[in-house]
Amino acid sequence: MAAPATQQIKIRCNDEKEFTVDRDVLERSVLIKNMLEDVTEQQDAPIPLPNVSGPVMAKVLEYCTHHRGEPLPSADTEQSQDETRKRTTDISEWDQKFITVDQEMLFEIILAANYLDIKSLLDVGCKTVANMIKGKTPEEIRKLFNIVNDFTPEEEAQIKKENEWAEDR
Amino acid sequence: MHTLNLQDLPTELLQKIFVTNDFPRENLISIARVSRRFNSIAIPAVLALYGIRQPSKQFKACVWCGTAVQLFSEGKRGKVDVLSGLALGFDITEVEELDWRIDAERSYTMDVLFKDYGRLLRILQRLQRIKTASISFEGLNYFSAWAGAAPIGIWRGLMEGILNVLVERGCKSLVIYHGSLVAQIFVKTKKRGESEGVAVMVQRTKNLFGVSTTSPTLEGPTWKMARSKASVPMKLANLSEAARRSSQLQRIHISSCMLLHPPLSHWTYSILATPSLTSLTLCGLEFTALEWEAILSWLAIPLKAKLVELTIERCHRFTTSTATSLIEFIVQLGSLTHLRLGPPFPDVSNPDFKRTLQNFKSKSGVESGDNVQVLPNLVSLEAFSDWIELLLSSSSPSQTQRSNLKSLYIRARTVFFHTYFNHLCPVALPPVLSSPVLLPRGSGLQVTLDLYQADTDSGNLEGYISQLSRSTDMSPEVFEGITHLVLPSWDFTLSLPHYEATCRFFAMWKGLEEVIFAPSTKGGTLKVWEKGDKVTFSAHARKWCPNVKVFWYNHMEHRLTNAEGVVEDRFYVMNI
Repeated sequence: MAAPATQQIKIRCNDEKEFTVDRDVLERSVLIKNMLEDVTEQQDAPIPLPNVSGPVMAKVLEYCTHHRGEPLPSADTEQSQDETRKRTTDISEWDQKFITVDQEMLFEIILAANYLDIKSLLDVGCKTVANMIKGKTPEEIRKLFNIVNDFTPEEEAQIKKENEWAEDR
Repeated sequence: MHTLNLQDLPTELLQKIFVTNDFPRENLISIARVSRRFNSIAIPAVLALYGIRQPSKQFKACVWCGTAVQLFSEGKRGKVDVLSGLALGFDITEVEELDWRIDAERSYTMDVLFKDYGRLLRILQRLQRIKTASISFEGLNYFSAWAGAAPIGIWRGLMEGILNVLVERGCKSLVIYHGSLVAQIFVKTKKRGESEGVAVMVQRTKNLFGVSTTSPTLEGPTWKMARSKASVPMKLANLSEAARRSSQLQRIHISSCMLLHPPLSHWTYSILATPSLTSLTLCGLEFTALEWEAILSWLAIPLKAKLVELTIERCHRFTTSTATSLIEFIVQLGSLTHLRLGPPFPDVSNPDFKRTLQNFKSKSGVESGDNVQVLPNLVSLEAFSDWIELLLSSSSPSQTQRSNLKSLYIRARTVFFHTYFNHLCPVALPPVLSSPVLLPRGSGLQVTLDLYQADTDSGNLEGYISQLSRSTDMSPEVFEGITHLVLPSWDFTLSLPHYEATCRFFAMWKGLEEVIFAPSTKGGTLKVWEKGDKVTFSAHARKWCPNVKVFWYNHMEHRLTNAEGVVEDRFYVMNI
């Protein structure tokens, strides 16, 4: 029997923080949706989400609440999803504002979206990172994301050499 | 506490970020340079974009050079515009005729070449449809031979990528050749400092691509080794099965020997088995007997093989045994209607060959005995005169008349003799011409006599013709039935007074419809008619032989033009 729309579900994050959320909001997450479908009886115990922290979950729930009621992407629409995903700039205004967070939170959201299987949120996160990388030189990318250059000096010299002639336009 | 970083994302997510978003490819290359991990993720992504399936260390270079490659094309303004338009980002999706070749004015080094090919590949990938293509893979053989294994890998990535894209974009006609420009660079380099020059080039190659090779020499040991070890594949196909099945490729002209040698031979064999293929040209190739057998067996693979046109020209390893297997193949195939055999060609007087052919004929010749037509479906045949004789004489007169043959192109080996007695003996015209049995008169058969490759060392053809026209021991009937004449054009430009005599001679030639002058090299320089001479000669022709059309072969465009420069949209294959 279908659960009433007002059904409340409890979840518990890895920092013991608990949320009580409308079922349809939580069902944006394919992971949780599948979990809920597997459970036939009403349960009072909160669903444990060991890979997500409270602050990140709050952010994710903010996204899910905003997008509640929108149709979930199904496997059939995979193709057209790919088509739309290609355009990196087409992040909606609300999503853009939502994802304007510090880098750590951004990556946390991406990881959480991946874990919870929230496709649209994962796309927004990936597009955002892609937009950050776009048009940057390797050095700028390293600086932006604080990545250590682990090429050996020989490799580095090699790459530099490649550069010299590759940049002759 | 550790701060979460882009590097902490799992590989699958990084792939998702790098691959599914429409990065400019240059950006992926920037990513590849950030760190080792990013490199390992971005490089396969870039390779996938290039259509290269098997990434290896050697392919790095072609990815990195992808940032800046230059596009050019020689003398093909319209086509260049399409491509430069693409390069500038205009929305062009279809190309009728792609012609990509080397600019002789440009000074070439290997890095320039690589950049160009990389650019070409990227451009091709943006197109949705390419109808016909002609691609010059300049320099491949020289670099791969001299610089060791590294460039082979890179070339393979680029060439295979380019060829696959062309097939996948529905290309119907594909011409692949290679130039000699890079060879000249090498020769020059070599002359300057003997083998030292080559060593310098090899070192540059290594520097460019960061690959260590074991002391490559001029002989290219790696190359030779690769070749001797290579077995002829009977299963492997580098082109994806789906791409091959849906391929619309009808015509392929292979004039680069690299396509028959590893590493690219696999691609070639697989494309030969394309069911849509109707026309194949092999030109200027060298192949071993084993490679030849492979070509034939791959051609025969499609169940409904409908190869109708086959041209073999300037293949220097074409021997008596390969010729025998070719005839066997043609008879078994049954679909072939156009056969063109260019020089050099094995000597038909070779007893081995005659015996094999006889054996074969008696084997396949049902009850009708000796009169088995070797090539029953043939509509057009182009070969040296002795070959034509051999092939036609295997059918009885009645069969000849009933045969489908519409066009005969006779290449004469030796036509005119010049003796020291200042005397001409034009008796060496191909005997096939004087045989009414082999060459029925008035049958509507188009017969072209090509004197282009005739033994012309002896001098002035124009003089011959003018004397020939006065010669009494020469029966004009010999020439009857010849409708087209191809002449080399040397000396004609030098002696205007003979124009009239030549035109009168053409007029005597009953049934002659067209004369084609082809530029020829004598003493190392290419003789081409001046425009003024063409006009004057045409005026003479109109007066003295009004029934004969005169054309000049344009060796740059492979087309025929008349004196006014109007292009006839057909061409003859010549050995220039």
